[in-house]
Amino acid sequence: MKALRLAGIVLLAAILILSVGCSSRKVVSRVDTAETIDLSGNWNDTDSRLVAEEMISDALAKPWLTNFVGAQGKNPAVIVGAIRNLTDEHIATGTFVGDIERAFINSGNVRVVAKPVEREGVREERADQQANASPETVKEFGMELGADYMLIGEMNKITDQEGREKVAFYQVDLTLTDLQSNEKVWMQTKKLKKYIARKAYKP
Amino acid sequence: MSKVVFSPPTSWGDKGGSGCCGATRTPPIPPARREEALISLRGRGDKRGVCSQSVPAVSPYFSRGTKEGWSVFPLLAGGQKGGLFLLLFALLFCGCAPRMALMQAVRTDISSSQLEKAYQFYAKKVAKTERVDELLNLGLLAFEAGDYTTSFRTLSDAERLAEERLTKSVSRETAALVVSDAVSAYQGTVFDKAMLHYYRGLGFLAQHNLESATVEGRAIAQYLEVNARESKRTYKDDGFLQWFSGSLYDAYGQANDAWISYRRAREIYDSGYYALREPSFLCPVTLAAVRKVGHSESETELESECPAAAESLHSDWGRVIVLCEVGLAPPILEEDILLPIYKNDPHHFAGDDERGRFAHDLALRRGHDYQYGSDVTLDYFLRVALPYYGADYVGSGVAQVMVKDTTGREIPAELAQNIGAIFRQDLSDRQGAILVRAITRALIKYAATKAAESAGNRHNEALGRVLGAMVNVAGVATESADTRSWETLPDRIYAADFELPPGTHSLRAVFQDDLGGALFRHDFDPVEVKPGEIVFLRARCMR
Repeated sequence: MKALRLAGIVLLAAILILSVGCSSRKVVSRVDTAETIDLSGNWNDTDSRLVAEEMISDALAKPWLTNFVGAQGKNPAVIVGAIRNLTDEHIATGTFVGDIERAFINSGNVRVVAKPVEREGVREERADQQANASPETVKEFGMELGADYMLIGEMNKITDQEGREKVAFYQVDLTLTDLQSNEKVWMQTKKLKKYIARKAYKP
Repeated sequence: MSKVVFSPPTSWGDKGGSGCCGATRTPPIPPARREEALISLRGRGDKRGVCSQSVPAVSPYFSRGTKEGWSVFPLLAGGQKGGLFLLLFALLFCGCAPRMALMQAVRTDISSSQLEKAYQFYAKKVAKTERVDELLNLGLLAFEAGDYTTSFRTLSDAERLAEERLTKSVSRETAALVVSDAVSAYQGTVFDKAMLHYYRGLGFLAQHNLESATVEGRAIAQYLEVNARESKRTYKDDGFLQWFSGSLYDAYGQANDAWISYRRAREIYDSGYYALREPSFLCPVTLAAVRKVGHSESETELESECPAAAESLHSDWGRVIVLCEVGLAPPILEEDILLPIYKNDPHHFAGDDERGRFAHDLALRRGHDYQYGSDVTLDYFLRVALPYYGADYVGSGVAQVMVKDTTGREIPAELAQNIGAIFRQDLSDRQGAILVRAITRALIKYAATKAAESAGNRHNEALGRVLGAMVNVAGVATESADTRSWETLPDRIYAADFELPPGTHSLRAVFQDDLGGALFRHDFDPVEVKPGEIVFLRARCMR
């Protein structure tokens, strides 16, 4: 009987493997955007959110803001510059940078200047207005808001791997620099560490 | 006294018939000619692009013969049962043979430089594929056709799936052991996983996205660092990719990382990297990086190693890198080998370990001669399918590449990566394990056939033959070597790395044969060279 079972295995395995190989089923379901789902171990939406939360709470609480308002009597204008990705992953820095911009604007205490790419589009529209908009609604050139500070930063990653285990350490550094004096008025770092282990076998 | 040589012959075997999934009809062989038939059927059968094979004629089941004579499938002769077996055979074969024919067609298009056609054709055929080898092939074809978005997405899918498949599926691995290596989930070779970063990097450079290209350079360095520590195969690190990675670091302004990668590249070439010499540009670019870093001790050392470059480096010039890829990497072919099972060999095994030990012993019989009439008596031949690279395959007719500018200056592009050699060595590294696994599988299939026969014989002899034939057909039809690989890669890569003064330059790559005749010329778009910046150019010659 054992031998017969072996024969059956060969026959059935041949048929099943070839037929199963052709079928695949994708499952898609909606989940809460705040839910943490780690799949590959790479940088993901949760990491981005954690960085944004840390940076926003710190940036709005630190004295650079009150110092500026006290000295100038107005809210500071900030522009977001380059966030250099020095990791070995393609990371969409725009997500947490966008969160920071949104938090600045919604706080009502910080003004945000459009990024260079966004400005190009706005300027094109303004140029179009010169020819097509009514005189009372046309916007003038040379009246843009100049930023007081520039937000720049970089992301680094250190990976240590042996066999199927890996530790990935991410560090995001953001700096707010005075555009007039080059003085750094705010710096913050967010560190994330992940342990990723891969099973040798699955069923 | 006749003699059977089990070592692979140099001539090609019967390539069989044509047409999708049609089984070749092997003519009946009379018993008197049995030994001669077995002898003549030894050796390689190149099954690329064909659906048929002469395998059944040497299957263990067949070798024992039937009362009806020596037809391959005695029960296929007619009637409903015959139709059932034919259907089963056809079903089993339809899964793989068209894919081999597909790659053959793609290679033909690529060889005639019809890259867009090859891309469109292949993309249509493998749409929604989840096979790593197909994703790699498609990713490179998309890159060649200038569809960088698809290329990046596809190569990323390949990388993700390859990573996922590091966790092996027990059910699939078991099936692979019983059915065929081709059933196991292909995860690509270590070299594939390093090279996909190279093409993704080039894709980003083509889109003027240096930051993302540098991410790929870092991924290369990180991946190779782990592999160099952990790999037990010949391919541990990569001189060419380390230099490429270093160049991306350099272009992005990370001189220290660039220096580390260049230094590693030099060490790899010096240690005999697939018989390639260290490219002459590597010492000067390493020196330039060291000067940026400001490591005086290393600078002095490098100045003594390449004194001419030490004098001629221009910090106010730009740097141009020209990557010249040639030909097509060799495809993996399939060969059938026969191993003798003697009467006094064990035919029943207490467990997997015992079967494994016998498989190891059998593997040693490959390449040995068997003399009829010797003290051991042949019981049957065990047929296994193994992957191999054709010794006569020529990946490209290009023997040298020259880069010329408008002033007539000629810079030789040096052979920096021999992909064909890496492929061959990698398969050679794996061949021992593949052979033992294939033999174990053949033993299991043989045991299964005999078991089915015995089980049927308890009721009546005809049923025994039916069951035995069914299992035999399934076993034979599924026995195939794992020939999956990244076939759209070039065979070799030549590289030139030199300085040019700031300004606009027109450059041309001339691919030459061994007599210096031009096989192919590629005129690059005029390049703007700026002080301290690096321009990357890439061309591929399919000849």
